[in-house]
Amino acid sequence: MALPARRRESRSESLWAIGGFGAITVAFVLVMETQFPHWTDPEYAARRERLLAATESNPDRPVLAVLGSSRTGTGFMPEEVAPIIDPDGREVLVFNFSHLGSGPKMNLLQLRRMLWDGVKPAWLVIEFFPGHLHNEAQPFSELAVRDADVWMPYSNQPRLAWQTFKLRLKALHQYRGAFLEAAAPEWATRREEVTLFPLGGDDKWERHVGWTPEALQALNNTIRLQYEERMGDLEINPRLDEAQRDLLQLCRELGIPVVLVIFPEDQRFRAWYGPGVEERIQEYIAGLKAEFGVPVIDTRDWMPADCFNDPHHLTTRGAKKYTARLEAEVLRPLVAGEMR
Amino acid sequence: MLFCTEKFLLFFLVVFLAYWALPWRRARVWLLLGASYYFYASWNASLARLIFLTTVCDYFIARGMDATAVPWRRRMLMLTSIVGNLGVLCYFKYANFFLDSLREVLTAAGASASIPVLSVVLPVGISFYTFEAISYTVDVFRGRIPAERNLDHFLLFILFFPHLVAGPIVRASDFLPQVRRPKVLSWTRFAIGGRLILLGMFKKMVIADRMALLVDPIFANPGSYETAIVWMAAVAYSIQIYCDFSGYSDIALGTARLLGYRLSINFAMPLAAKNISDLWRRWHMSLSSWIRDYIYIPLGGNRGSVARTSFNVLFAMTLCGLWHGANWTFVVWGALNGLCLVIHRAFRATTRDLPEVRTLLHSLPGTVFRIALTFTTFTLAFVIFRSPSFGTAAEVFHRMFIPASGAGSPVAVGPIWLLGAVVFFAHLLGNRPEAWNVWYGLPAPVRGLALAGMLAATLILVPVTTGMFIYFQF
Repeated sequence: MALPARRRESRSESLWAIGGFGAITVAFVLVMETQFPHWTDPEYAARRERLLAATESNPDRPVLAVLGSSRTGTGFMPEEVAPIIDPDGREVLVFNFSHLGSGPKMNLLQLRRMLWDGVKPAWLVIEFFPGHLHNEAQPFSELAVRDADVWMPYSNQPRLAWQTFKLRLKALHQYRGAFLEAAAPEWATRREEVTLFPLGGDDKWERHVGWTPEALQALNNTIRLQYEERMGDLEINPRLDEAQRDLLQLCRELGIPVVLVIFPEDQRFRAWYGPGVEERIQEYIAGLKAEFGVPVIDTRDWMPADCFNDPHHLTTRGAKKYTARLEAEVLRPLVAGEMR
Repeated sequence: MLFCTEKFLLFFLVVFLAYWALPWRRARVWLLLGASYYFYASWNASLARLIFLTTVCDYFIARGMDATAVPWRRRMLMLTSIVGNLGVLCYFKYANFFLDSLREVLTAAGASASIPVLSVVLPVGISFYTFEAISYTVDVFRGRIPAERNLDHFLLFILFFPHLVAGPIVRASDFLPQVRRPKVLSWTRFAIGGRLILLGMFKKMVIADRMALLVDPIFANPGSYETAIVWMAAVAYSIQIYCDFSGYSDIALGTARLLGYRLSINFAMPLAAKNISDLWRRWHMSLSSWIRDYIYIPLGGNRGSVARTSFNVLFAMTLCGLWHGANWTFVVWGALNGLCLVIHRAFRATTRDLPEVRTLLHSLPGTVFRIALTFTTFTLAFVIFRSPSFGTAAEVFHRMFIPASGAGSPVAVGPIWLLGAVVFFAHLLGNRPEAWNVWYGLPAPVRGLALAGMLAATLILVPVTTGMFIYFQF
């Protein structure tokens, strides 16, 4: 049945509006996924920008990258590391490429991202956080499609696929921050700036200094809720174990020397370990050592209590002291090929 | 549940699809009632029950009025409804305000009294639905409309979610006949509703929320900013509140239209008003007409002496200010607008016999001057409205009128200027039929793509820190 002219006009207008919006969304997603996949993850984008700037201005320097969670982000300050010269006489570029909440899956993804960005690290220090073998955060909104593909084998696949698809439906809104910063910076508004030092060090946690005791207590309670139960009966998730092994396997295939480091924890955090957990961790580490020949350095008790902001994040002062010791006992031996 | 959120979009999508899938009119009414109740209960379930109960009471009171012809009984029933509705409004919205004021007066007088602070949660939109309920019982009392016989229809009149929390304030005579009218979904309805929703989202998310980025920090600490930026913030607030509230109204009208209901328009390019009376005919029209019909005219309107008329205007506008919120700043804002209306009436009466002056005022430069003067007055009055206290308002005025140096804009001003220009040109063109003829003269695909671009721009340009609708608090 033919519609009256006005209704026909309205139908045409509505369908073009819906179709046009769909086309704009698809175009935006295609451009983002193919040209600017880092738009999905502001923290990665900020570190990537600094890493590319550092490598482009020093193309001959081999890269020693440190991967890990916020423990690494706040605890390791490459800016404090004295020049390290490799056996070939080149000065090493030490870079903190950590990511909040990173566990085996995100560490693997961060390495993949470095490779996609054209940076192949010559050495890797990877944080080994036993708690993240039980459970790792799922930052769906921070994953580009290529990232989701890396995560797929270790995740609930239908859920990851659905979340990735759903986020693309609202991509214009979800990822507008990075788009505006690139296309129209005056219009960009960010909830929180990603503040990093030039080599990826992060002093954000230092803002906890000066907090009221009540606020710090609340923070500690949050951390306790996150980890107490997890560390009390540490069950290793087979998928995360697989991701951990695939990460080490990839390093082996690429010929990248690796060291695993367990970052500092204070006594409060250690008290959450349940009976038998430490043995389970040691047993797991022994398995990794046997399979991959990877050195594992336990630095959990390296720092005194006054160097912690909370049970497992260092203050800036603590990070400086820790970085100095890590440099002497891990980084230099790793570069010199003396780390076994 | 806010209009410009994913949650509301999903909620509305489900309601929209279910509504038009139902073939029975009565089932549709019940669906809308359930959806409206859920919409309100998503803020506070117990307050949703409160509105439900007061609405049921109003229904029976009106039925009681209809059932009797005895004037004093009808009057008593009407007063019961008014006192009940205003009592609930006063308790939830004004009790602590009056208690605080009493405490301050006693303290100033040197007396000490232990006056409690009530722990009450302000029901969202209480001022809006209270006025709707009062207008209904008064109209039934006056015999303008019969009492609604169907409880579900009456409940929908008050609870209909598009207008429930921030208007427009609907009249029973407009709404109830629409409940009974058969409805079909048409592409025209879809196009008009969708266009209104898009326009409202753009006004709220792009313009109002962007203006807030400038306004909020400056009103929080006006003393530290330079004069020019404080002026800019004052003007930006006028634009913000217009786009915030008219944006909400547009979305309300659009969602209602998609469900087959027409709500009355609430704004008609008020920032281009030529005088203060004109402004109040264009600004929050459903409230100003309510105040005219249920306060100003019953007080005598303009039928008495100049002094009596002036009193009526001042009284009505002061109440209008108090309606906005439990703070003396709102009261003074309302009174100030009333004063401006009185002055304008006097000026108009004076110039009635001065054709030269009238000709000058109606010339192009004269019209531009009048619009600029009206907008400036509106902006200055809204400084008081926006300020949390008179101290802050005084500080803002001090910065505005005593040139001072200080910090510059806390945000990039390029987008603020650009969006200000958009509002300016929209007001310039919006009231001209030829502008709309140009729009409708465009091929439908072009219009559709323009709307798609507008939606994309809205989603991209909305600031990260997007806020509540300002009028939700009223």
